[in-house]
Amino acid sequence: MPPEGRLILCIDDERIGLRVRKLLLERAGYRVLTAPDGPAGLAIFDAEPIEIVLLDYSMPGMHGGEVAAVMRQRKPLIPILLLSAYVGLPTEITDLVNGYLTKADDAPTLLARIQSLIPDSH
Amino acid sequence: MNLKQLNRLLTQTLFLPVIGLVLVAAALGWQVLAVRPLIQDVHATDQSLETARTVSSLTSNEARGVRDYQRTLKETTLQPYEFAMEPLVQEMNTLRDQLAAQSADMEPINDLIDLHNDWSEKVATPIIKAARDRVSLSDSQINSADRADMDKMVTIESGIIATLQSKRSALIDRWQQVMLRTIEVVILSALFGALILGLFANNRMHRVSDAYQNTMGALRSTAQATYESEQRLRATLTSIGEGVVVCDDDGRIELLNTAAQRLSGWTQAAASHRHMELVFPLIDELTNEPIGPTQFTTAAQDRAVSLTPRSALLVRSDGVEYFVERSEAPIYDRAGYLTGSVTVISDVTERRRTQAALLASEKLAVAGRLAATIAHEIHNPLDSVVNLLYMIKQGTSEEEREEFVDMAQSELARVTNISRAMLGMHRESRIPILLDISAIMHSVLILLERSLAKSGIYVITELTPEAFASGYPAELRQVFTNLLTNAADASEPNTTIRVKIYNQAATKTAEDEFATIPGVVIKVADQGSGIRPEIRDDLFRPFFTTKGEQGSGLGLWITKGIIEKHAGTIAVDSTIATEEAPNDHGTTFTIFLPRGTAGLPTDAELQPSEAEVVEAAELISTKSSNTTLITNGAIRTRPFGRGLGRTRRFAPRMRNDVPLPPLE
Repeated sequence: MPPEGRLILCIDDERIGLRVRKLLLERAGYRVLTAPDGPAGLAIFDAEPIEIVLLDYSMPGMHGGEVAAVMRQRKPLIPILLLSAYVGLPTEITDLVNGYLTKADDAPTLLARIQSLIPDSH
Repeated sequence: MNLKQLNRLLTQTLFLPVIGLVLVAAALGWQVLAVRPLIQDVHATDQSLETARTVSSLTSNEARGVRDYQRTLKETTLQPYEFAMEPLVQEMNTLRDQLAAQSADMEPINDLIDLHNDWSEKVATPIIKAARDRVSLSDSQINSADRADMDKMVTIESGIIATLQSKRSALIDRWQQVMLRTIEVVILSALFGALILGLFANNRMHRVSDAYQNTMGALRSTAQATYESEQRLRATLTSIGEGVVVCDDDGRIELLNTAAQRLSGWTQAAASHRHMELVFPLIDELTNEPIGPTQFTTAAQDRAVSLTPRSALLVRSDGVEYFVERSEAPIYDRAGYLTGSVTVISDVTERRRTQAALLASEKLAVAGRLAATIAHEIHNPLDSVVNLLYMIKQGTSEEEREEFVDMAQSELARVTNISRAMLGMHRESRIPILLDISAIMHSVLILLERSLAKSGIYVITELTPEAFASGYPAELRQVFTNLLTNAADASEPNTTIRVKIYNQAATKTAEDEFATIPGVVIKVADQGSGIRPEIRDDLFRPFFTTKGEQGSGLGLWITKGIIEKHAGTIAVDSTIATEEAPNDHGTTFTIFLPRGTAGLPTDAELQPSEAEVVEAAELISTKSSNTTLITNGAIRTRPFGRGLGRTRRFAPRMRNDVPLPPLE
């Protein structure tokens, strides 16, 4: 499935990491919206027709697990992919999302996971 | 019964028979006195009887003499009459006197005397005269008168004798009666006295016997209690886990309990009377000098003895070594003279090992937490690098490629510097070195900054530059990490942790030259709910935690140990919210580290270099984190670490760094 025009929301407090990820995804054909923390991300999530969320776990204020829980309440069908710099997140958080990846895994793996999670609605 | 009572009893028992005997003797004496007149009477009667008999005999002699002379007319035959005449008058008078003395009836004797006189004049004298004149006296009147007077006299004499005899018999009878009564009285009183004495002695002997039984019983139970008490103490002494050694006043061993025998490897028999230092060769851990016997003063008034256990190394003759703690106490007698000493020696080898193991495990736990932080700090830049490399590989424009490579390089530099900064955390010096305490605190704050910011906690620092103290950098980092994470755990979001470091100058005065030593004061204050007073004393105990499963309970225990190793002090001051002041609460930990004697290392000795660390701090803090910093009173909102990193030295200063073995 070509990913053209699919709208992705990236939430991460790492400035450079977020910028690079946006570039990567845009090159792969996605439309990308970014947010530096949980509350900003949720505002965009509510306002825009987001099709998949790429969520960092470790953030000041709300961590990724909390953001995912709110998103599941509001739009339960939107797939969420959790990214984390930590290894071994608690299962109650990984169970909440559709999948999770450790940061610094290679880019093709990330892109493949995103593509596999996107609902086949076109 | 006491001794006084017993003495009184014995006196009573002694005097009662004496009193009884005296009474009996008195009764007997009284009886003897009562009998004496009787006996005198008997004697008098006997004399009277004799006199009466003599009178009777002389009377018949006279009569016979007269009659014989009348018949024979020979002068010789008249002799009995003549011989009897004078004594008879005397005897008669004597008898009269005796009878008068006895107040007897005087009539018979008077009649007798009258009759005799009458007879002598009217009968005897005429008859003798007639015979001498050869006149035949055929006068029958005279003969018959002679016979009548004689018969009367004999009758009177017999009467007197009979009266006297009957009187004597009566007296003898009375005497016998008195004697019988006396014997009866004596026998009865003897029986009665014996009875009373027997009863009294029996009673008193019972009392003495009871008292003796009581005393014996009390003695027996005392002896039993003493025996049991001794057995109990002996069992306690034997089974006690600590070695107990009793020495005499010369320091020679008198008693070793089981633990002391096991610890020393000596038996009681072998160690007896040997010197303490021989059986327990103790060595000072720090100086390696043998520890001699404690000299106790013999003065009774100076008995203040410190029972604080002192640690030492016990090196047995077979080479086995034990870490021990010993405390000594003198034994004084009643007069206050030293008679010996008791030494308690406990084997703390196992405890030391456990402590070492705990320290190691806490160190590992800290390392584990640090490893997670490191992984996080490294994975973020690596993620960017991986993505950038992928994009470059996919093909980019020239300027895009330039930009991507720059970004990748920058992110990789961040990784390198984080790893270097972390490595510095795990390097430790073997000797204390002079450290910039503010710089160490700053480096710890950099590492913790992210998690603090995440919890919404603000840090206000007031770090005096050039705050130098001697110490071990990695251990102090562990201390600061502990205090800061404790403060963060106690803090609610949107509260502040204040960290203040300043130099404390020596305030030496003429009166007290050790009043204050120079050093560095570190204060970490949170605005948490405070620590309840009842648990404040427990804070520094191992395994004490208020964090449940989250805490090991070792943090503050280790912190205190490290501070004490630095010859410093740690104090806690905590306030709990009250109804009057609901917003006044929080906890402040204050550490004092002495300036010490370590020298300031040269810049060349610093690893990693100052410049690198400054750069590392910058790179760690490249992302936007809105920690509010109040530095030396000025409130500025800026990325944490950047400002300080530019203006302050906070390189960990150390020398003789020896890397620890890698963590598994």
